[in-house]
Amino acid sequence: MKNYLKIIVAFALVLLMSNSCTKDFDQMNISRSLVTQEIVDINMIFTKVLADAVVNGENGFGGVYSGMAAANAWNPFQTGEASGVWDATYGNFGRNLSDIVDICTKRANAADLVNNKAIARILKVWVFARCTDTYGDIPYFESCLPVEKAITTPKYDSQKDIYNDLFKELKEAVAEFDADKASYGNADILYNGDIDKWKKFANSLRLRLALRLRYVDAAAATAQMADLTEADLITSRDDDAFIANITDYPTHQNSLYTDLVARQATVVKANVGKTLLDILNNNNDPRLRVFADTVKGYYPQIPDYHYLKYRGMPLLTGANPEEGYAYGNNTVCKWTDLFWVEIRKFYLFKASETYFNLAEAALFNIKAGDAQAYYKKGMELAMADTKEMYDDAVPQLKDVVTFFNSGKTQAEIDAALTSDIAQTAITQAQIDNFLNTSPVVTLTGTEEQKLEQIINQKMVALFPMEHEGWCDQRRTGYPRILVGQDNGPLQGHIPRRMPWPGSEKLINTAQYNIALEHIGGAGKDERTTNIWWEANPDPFKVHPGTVEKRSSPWVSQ
Amino acid sequence: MKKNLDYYGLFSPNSNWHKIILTMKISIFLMFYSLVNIFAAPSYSQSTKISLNFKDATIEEVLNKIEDESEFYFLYNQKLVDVTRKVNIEADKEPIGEILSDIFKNDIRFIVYDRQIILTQNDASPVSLVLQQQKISGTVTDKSGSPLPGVNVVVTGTTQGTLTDIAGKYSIDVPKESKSLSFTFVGMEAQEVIIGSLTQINITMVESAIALEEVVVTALGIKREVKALGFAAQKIGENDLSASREISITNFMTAKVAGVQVTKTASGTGGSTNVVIRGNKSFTGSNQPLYVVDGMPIYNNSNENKYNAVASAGIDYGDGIGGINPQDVESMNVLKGPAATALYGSRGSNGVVVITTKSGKNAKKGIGVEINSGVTFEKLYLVPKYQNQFGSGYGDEGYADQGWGTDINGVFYLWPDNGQLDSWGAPLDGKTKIPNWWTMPSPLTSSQIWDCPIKDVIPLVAQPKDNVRNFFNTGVTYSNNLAVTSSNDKSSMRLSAGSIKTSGIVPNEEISNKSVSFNGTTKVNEILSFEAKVSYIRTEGDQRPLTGYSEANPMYNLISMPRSTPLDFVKQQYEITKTNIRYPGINYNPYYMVNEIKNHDFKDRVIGSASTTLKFNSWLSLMGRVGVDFYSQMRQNTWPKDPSSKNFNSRLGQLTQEIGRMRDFNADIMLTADKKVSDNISLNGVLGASVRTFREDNLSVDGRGFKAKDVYDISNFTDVRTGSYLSEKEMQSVFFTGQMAYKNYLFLDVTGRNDWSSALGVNNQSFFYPSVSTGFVFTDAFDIKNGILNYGKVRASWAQSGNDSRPYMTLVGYNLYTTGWNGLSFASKNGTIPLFNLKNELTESIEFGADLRFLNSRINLDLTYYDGKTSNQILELGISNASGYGSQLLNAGEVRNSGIEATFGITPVKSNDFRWDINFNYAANHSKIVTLDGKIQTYPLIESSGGEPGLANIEARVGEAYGNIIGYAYQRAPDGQKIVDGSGSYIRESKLSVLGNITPKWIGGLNNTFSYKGLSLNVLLDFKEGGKVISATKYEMTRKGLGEWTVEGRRPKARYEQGDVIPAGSNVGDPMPYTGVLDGVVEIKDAGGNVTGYEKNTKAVPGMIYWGNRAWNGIAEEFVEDGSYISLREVMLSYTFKPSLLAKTPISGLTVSAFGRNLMYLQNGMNYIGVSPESAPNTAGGASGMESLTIPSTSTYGFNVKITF
Repeated sequence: MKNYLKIIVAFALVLLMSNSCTKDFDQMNISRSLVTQEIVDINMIFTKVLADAVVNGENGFGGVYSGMAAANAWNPFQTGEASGVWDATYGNFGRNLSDIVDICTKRANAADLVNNKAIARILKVWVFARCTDTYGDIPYFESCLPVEKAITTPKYDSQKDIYNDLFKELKEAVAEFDADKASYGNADILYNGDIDKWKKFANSLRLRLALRLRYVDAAAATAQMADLTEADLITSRDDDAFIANITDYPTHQNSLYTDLVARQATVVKANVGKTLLDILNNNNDPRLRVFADTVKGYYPQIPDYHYLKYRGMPLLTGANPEEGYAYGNNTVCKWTDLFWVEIRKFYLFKASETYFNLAEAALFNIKAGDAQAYYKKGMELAMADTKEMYDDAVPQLKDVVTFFNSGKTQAEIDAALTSDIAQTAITQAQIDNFLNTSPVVTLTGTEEQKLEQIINQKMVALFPMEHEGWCDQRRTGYPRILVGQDNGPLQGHIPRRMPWPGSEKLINTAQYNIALEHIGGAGKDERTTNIWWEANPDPFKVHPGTVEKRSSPWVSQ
Repeated sequence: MKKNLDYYGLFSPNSNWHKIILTMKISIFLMFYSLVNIFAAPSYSQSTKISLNFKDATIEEVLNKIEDESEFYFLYNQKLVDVTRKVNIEADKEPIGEILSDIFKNDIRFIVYDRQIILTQNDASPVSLVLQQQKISGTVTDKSGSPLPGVNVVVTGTTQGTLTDIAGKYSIDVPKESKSLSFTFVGMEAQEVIIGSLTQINITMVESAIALEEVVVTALGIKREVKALGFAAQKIGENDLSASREISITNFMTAKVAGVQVTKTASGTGGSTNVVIRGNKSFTGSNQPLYVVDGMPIYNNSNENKYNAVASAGIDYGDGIGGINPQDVESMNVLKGPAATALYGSRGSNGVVVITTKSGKNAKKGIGVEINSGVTFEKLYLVPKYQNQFGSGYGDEGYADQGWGTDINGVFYLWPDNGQLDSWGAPLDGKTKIPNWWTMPSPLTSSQIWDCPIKDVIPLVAQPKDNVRNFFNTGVTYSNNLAVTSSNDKSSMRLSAGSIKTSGIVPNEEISNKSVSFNGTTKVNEILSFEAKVSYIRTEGDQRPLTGYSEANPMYNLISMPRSTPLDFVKQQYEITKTNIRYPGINYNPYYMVNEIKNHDFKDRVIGSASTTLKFNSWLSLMGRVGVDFYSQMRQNTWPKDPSSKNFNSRLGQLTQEIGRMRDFNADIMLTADKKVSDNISLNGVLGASVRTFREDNLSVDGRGFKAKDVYDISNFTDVRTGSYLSEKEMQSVFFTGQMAYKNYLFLDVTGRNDWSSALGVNNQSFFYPSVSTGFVFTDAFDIKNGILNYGKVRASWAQSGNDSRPYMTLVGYNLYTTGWNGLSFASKNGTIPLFNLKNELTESIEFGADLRFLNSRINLDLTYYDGKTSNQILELGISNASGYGSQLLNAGEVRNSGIEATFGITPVKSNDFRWDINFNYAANHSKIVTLDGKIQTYPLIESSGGEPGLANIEARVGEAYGNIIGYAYQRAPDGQKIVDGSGSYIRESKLSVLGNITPKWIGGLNNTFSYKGLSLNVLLDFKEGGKVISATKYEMTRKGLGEWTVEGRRPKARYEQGDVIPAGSNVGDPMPYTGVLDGVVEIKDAGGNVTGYEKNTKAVPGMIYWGNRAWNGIAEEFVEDGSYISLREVMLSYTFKPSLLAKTPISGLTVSAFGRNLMYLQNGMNYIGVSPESAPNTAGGASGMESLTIPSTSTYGFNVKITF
């Protein structure tokens, strides 16, 4: 048997091998890549939220409900859910910002993190305001709780309660700031950790949200604005809340530029909405040239069509092909090349909006002030924004023109660049002339007419912040939007809200049903249902124009 | 001579082998000669010495003792050998030969053949002294042509007989009046041959259909007689595996094993196979069985991404089991219920497929060479059925979409859209004239094809109806395998090298699988033996097809292309431009997709194991075993720079590369005791421990944007992102099993296992689960020996089986990103709420069964009933994302599976030469979701929400069967008629409803085998009754007006019929009236909008409203199809040459076979769409109910030659 001792020893070794594995057994299920709440760097979370929310957030031309853009390929009056804002709010921004607040409360050095916490609370208000403005009642108080307290079927809160809390959060956050404590520093890609600018942003946001309530609860609007002075607000373009593109990854470039690099001459530019184009064109606004190309197409029977120069696209639904024929490709204006430059600025808040908001508040005696003075100040700032856009774009334009003209000779490209720069140019002289001479700079007529003037100009100033444009359009009915034939359920009316995501119906059924009862029961979870602050008795203003029709298609040049 | 050759004889100067064969054998053999030499030792019979001490004992007692004490076993005919004779014997370490000589003196002749000792009468035996005898001799062989020693040859009706010798030869004197000879052998069908005037009778014996003493490999590699089992286990032996070539061995189970549903995924030749045993049990985990090869579990990473099904497409790189060389497999045994699999622990909770590979052990002595060579052709079978009457456009007229057009010679002609134009246009009757797009301008005058002048006008006509077939190739698979075996009394080895090379039906698809396996065993002495095996497998794939809703899936384009588009031109367009540019009638160019968007992968895999057994004495042994399954793999996908692509990454050019490793290490140790404690009772027990460590990691790089065009190296990309993944898990286990057998007819088994899994919550790592099973052979117990029932057994079992989780589910963390913002890093909180105290799932099951054999086993019936429930399911539950989290991990939910399984075998005809066997199996599984977490009512298994609307989800709903199809139904009036709305189209219900269930009512197989001498014909039918399938192909083809069924209801004449062309700028003529009126009712409403009644719909609508709206309105009910089928799964004709025919050649066995698989559906509810109901896109739990733009189904035809030397 001795000879087999060796073998038994070998068996023992096998057993030992299995035992040797056990020392890490309990630790094995902790992933090596696990970053826990104790050690995570909140700066990284904050940077990501900002980059996602601002740069990859709202920057497109889909603002069909604000008059900024026009839809040519899809039906703007379709029904059904649109869960994008919802998913971004809860699936990214809300969770991460709440988590920062949670960490800033839990960590041992919480006292040093008050500014980080306050800033996260402010940005969270911006995030949730956008969500409730889109869907109406939404889960809020039971949402985005720390993981150990998470509520998997959160109840929906009324928009009124949510707004009250948003105001409270903004006030508390501003009060919480401590100038002696650090902030996010350069991880704050919006304000570089400047807490004074964050305070102004918070206050300006409160002004914006308070004005939303003007029709539904003028008293609340008045109360929320009462303590705000111009000094508390973003009144200088230096304090604007924006993030400019960077070039480290293609995804951080202006997405239009990235698309252009890839597709070059095959890029099909989007049409300019008729509402925006007409507001600019009718007033001989110098910004028109910055925003819109001239028409390139023609109809075979009407060769002069080429000289239409500026023609915008109404909202068409596809229900009537003759309308489609009348607005064929290249017979309406396209966005200029300036929008395709690699680096552009994407805004959360502009100083001009502060003044348009103050102008409306003053006009309706929500807050004391000189409506006309505020209005003009808003226009001045908006003009400066546009000029800056042109000035920023010109040095980058060569790149863009080269891509758009790929395959052409250098001489042709140079000529195109020269023409582009000249065609889109806006000078201070033109701006001054416009501000000094244009009748649109002066508020005239009835209060309602003045309001239309303010909102129209605010829309141009906000462009392309489509969410704000949509909110104003729903609230006031301005700007007026020309809509083609629509046989669908919306009958060409701008949607009042987006239905809750279908997944809520399925997996948050009980709470969904309670929320549905609050807005009127079955059949009310539609785009046609008003949200709380939409209390304007006459929100659908008629556009004076008509949609052109043609009986045959156009021919490409 | 050659049959007796042991390996020393190889060098015999008298060898009369053909020189070539000799050289070949020597060269193959020499490589391993030295190896074998190491194992070589004196034969067992010479070296084994036995001590005995008996007084007045029967010979039978002595023989039994020898069998107990040694590995010898005796073969003899009780009628011929008198074992009741009393003997005295005293032996002290004497060789077996001397002992036997002592016992039998000169009465009985004995032949020692390895461990087998054949007792036969001496010629001088008085029993055989009969006058007037004639001599009959011959050879008895098995089906493969190998000689069978020890076969009982008896003159029918007498006690006179003999046994065959080592060479299978016999010689017997029979009385003149004798009618026939009977041949019997354990495990073989008895045969009776009429003597007549024959003096030589050679026979081939075939294995019993269900051999009474059949041995199966059960848990942990323990070999057990089927008789002793308390649970169902079904074996697929070599007969089933030998002739037809399968790329994946899983396909051998198709329709042959009751209760096992095998579905090849619709992802090309090298794709995964979905195997579900006794119904789906788990919601999030795998529902695939565990595969165990020679006692060691292997890793089967099948394609189980549930989101792959519809939304985003994926590549199916095949599963782990698909890499096993079918030529190396000797048998497969399917263990279905927890009682059978309990000892495998958590990985066996979905059933276990125990695979025994070939080794030299059972090979004949000396050297054997086996060559297997085959070729199979894969031909398209079902292709989606197109209408061929209407072209692109809308409203049953026209050709164009957006009013694009061009002037040719002053006349205006419309263009079609360059995108996904639907086919609701004018008839393809040649009356509409279009610009001639179908000639490529050459040379191209502009990089923009649009700018090239088109000068011709052609009539708009249809392409040949089946033109899509031309896109695909005939797939060809060559498989070759060479195996060398060597064995002697002490050692054995087998070396096998195989190659399977496939070019698939999708252009450029190439898959190859090369493997080398070595398996060696040696018995050092009576106590110590070793066994080791290693396989190296290299799998390579190129251009594996993409599945699902992806532009890179060629079917995505081919099923939506207008019928006027010539495929030749599509090919030409790609070949000239090398781009994927959109063009009239071409949305994405499928030729571009299969030629330019490339994928390449390879995997080097080693599966090895080694075991040592120490046999302490006759009843106690210790076995230790280690095994590892390891691979390293690379997967690469490339997209050339393609500015015309809709896909953002393709526009810049992209490379993704993933390099990964996997290691699955298993070690176990088992102490086995097997002892007969009294005459009636024997005990058998195993005590063991095992450990499994699993590690998988990979590193991936994703580069976008070429620096230099088309150089696919990561250094050549401007935007590079990296990712890494690591998964580690360990399980430690102890287990025991004990069996008690009473009088060899009553059996009781008890098992228990405790696992500790690192993947569970730290307080719940340990879990224990037991099983009890019993078998009772009542025919033996009550000595029932009537002519009708010759064997009867009942069995019962109860078992639990636990299952752990994926690792890392107990803690929440943050995702870090390789991208950032100008040097700043990104982090984001993970959206899954973890479960700190994660527990194991537990399946509990009872099973009853009966095994009955009638009329001398010509009729066999095996019935099983089982009822099991899996509770504490580990669910990653989708929760309201308004909670701030996307999902939550839970231990909740219970799913119950119960059902019956039956196998029925009958041999209607059985004569000496001809035999007909019928085997039928049937299984009906009923599943029910008992609870989920108490709050939610439904759990999505397959979600299509990321894909197209109109398709449905597959969900688990409380109170219903696993795999409900959930979607929108037609809105119907109270009497069931469909409601038509004011626009004349069908509308859907406002609420989602259950549209069907994916689970079949029953599945079954019917196998007919006809054998005549060496010729054998096998016909296998496969049945599935019930089980719904949601068809994305039907959805797409209905949406776009391309399905053959969408012809009904279309307007017969075109608007432009009168003038052929539209004069510029004018409307032409009046349209013909629409003809399609949907069968349904319209609501009658009062002034208040309340429905007061219904009236028949009379509104005529265009085809796009008639058909397309069903898809556009998302009426999923329209696309739920009956997945029942009867498939002619396999027909195989094989011929085994008689050994006598090969006597003058060096070949000892030769079998040729021709076969066809998946030949046709005798019934297919989805035939009218032209797709197979077996088109599951992947192996996720609910996938079998999802058909997702599947590539056409195929039939395979093949030939195979098997040669043994």
